[in-house]
Amino acid sequence: MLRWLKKIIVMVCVLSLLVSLLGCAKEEKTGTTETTEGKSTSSSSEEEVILTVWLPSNNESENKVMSEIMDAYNELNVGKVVVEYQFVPRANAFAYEDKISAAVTINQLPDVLMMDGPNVSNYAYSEIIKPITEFFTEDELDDFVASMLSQGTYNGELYALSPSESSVVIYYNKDIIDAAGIEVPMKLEDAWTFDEFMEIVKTVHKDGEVYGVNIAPDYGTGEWMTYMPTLFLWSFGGNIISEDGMTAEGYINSSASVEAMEYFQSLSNYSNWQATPTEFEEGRAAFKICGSWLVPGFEANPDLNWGITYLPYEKTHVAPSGDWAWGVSSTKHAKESADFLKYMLNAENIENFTTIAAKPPTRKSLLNASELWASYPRSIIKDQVINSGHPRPKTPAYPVVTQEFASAAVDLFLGADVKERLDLAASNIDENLQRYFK
Amino acid sequence: MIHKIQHRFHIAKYQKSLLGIMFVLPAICLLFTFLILPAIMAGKYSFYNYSILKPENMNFIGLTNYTDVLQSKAFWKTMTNTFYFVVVVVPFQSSLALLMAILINKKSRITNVFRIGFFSPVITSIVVISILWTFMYAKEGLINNFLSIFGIPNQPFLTSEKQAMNSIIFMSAWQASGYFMMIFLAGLKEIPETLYEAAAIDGANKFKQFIHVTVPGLRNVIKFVVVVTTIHAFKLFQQPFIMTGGGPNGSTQTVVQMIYKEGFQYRNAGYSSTIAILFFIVIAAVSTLIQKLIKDRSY
Repeated sequence: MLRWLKKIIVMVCVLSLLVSLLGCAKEEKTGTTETTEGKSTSSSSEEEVILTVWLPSNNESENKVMSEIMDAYNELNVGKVVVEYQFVPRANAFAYEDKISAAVTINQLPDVLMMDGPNVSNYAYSEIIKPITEFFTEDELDDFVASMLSQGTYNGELYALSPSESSVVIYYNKDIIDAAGIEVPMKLEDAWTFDEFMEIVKTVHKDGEVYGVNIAPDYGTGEWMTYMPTLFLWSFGGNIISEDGMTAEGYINSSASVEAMEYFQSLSNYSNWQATPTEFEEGRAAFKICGSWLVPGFEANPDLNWGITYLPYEKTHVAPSGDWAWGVSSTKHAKESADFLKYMLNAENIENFTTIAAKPPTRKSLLNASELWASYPRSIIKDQVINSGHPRPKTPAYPVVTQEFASAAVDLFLGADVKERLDLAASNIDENLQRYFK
Repeated sequence: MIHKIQHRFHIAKYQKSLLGIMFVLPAICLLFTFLILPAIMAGKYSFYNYSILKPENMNFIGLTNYTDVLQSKAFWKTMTNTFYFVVVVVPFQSSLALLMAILINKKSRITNVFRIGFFSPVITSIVVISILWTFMYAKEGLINNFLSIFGIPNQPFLTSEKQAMNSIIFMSAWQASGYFMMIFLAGLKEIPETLYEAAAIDGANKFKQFIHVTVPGLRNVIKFVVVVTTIHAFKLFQQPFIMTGGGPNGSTQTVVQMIYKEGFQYRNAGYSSTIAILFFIVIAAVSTLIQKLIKDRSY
């Protein structure tokens, strides 16, 4: 009798262990459905469509305004559509893209998602996103700046659109520049040439005290080291990859590209690769080459006496552009997704978002009507966005292209031989294109 | 009667093994799902052209991935980097651990302080440590500031091809040696004091005692530490991923990093599985070899 009791106890223990394991998995599942139900109970309709949405988690204020816009959409569509959005961290690297790759393999893509501009062609090629051309009339599309339409187009179809644009500008420390008696261009046609810029950097650089220029280094882990160095490449007449996005040999290592990257490399003599994030703010760098997104932060910093000017140029004036864009996956809810996409990109919401995010809006009507963007310092960013914006290359192999180019740019900044390193990048990119896209 | 007892014995044995199976079942299930199954799938993918973003385009290509990988310069470069890391870090880290263990084996009031000091890097996340050391290794970081006191010029610890891997090796050894120090310490406690006394009476000095008493006494521990450190070292990933991104000029790019890059960032699951399979064969061969080498040597 006692023995039986013992056995029963053991069996119960084992069973409860197993059940608890299974139970864990089950509980998690019910947890998520509960939250969905929690949101939908207010509406009580049964035909309600649930749209899942992914977007990158940026800073707090941007996330807040994005959630407000989407919450407002939910209120407008009570009983019809519920948008369930998720902010996915980028982690200063490619964490967001990794999550999308993982979602594709298990068929769990969201209905609507944001993606970094240059990834549009890769996702369009992989059929992760669907064309959205038909959602918009020609007049509606005409309102968007050219660089944004170009970024979202692959094989003649529009796949993605962004509420905001970006640009790279030169920030300068007014105290240092004024002390050196340097006059800074205030009009696009007066922008420095690269040679002039180099001379100025040399005069303001003081070994061990003030660096000539800060390039906002990210140790080569993210998109920045592609986005920023392309400004040299394009202005010198070089490129990363052919127009059709299928050949790197003869483009990334062309003589113009080599010349451009040699210039980029020479900046490293007056720059600190291991700069602290606040080197410029502390007055330890005279110039900072960085994205337009720094403006609001600098405006809120009373201790910093700063200014902003146009990028220098060589042959043509080029400013890298592009930003995170909305696209629609191969979803069952195509109609609802289109409606949501158009809502996110209507003039009012673009204005709401871009005002908080301090990014240039992609609608020309907004850019031209806005007083904020008509006055310094934002007028300079606006000028560049309208006149010299250039999206990153369009190729289905963009993930490979950007990483190979970025790591080459890092190596060059640390002193690698320019021609040799770019040759290597060309062969790496072409090898991959050959294997998967031809 | 005898027959009956035997019968009952059989049932008991059967039930006992059933119970055993029940107990290991959860562990086996988890191991199978997250270790064995993925390994089998990687083996399968290595014969396919498989891009993560286009799962429906998967097609069988035989040994093409293998010939591609073996012909790739990048693969051999990462292989060389990884082997360099292993060859330097294993003896360096193990002897550092042994040295620390011997130092704190003495009974003294401050040994506890040292023990905590040596062990604390182990319980700190390697990611946190890597980020901290990136700042310390920086051009104007703590280490360069310290060196400048002695008039040594700024060292490009992480930004020069020659020094980057060595800087990572030093940091990794410093981080992990505390753990193996604890294992050595346990081994040292096992060696009877009488052996040292006998050696001392025979006229052996401290160094000779170490060679002829401590080392043979620790033989099994050393074997364990070397094998574990080697396998661990082959898997180097986080430190270069965070500190250098594999640069400069690919000098800190490791095989695991290449597997990650090819698989997740370039989305070539087939190609990256092939590297993983080849790498598995290499690690298995090396660790068997080490075990053989240590076993065959008689003291």
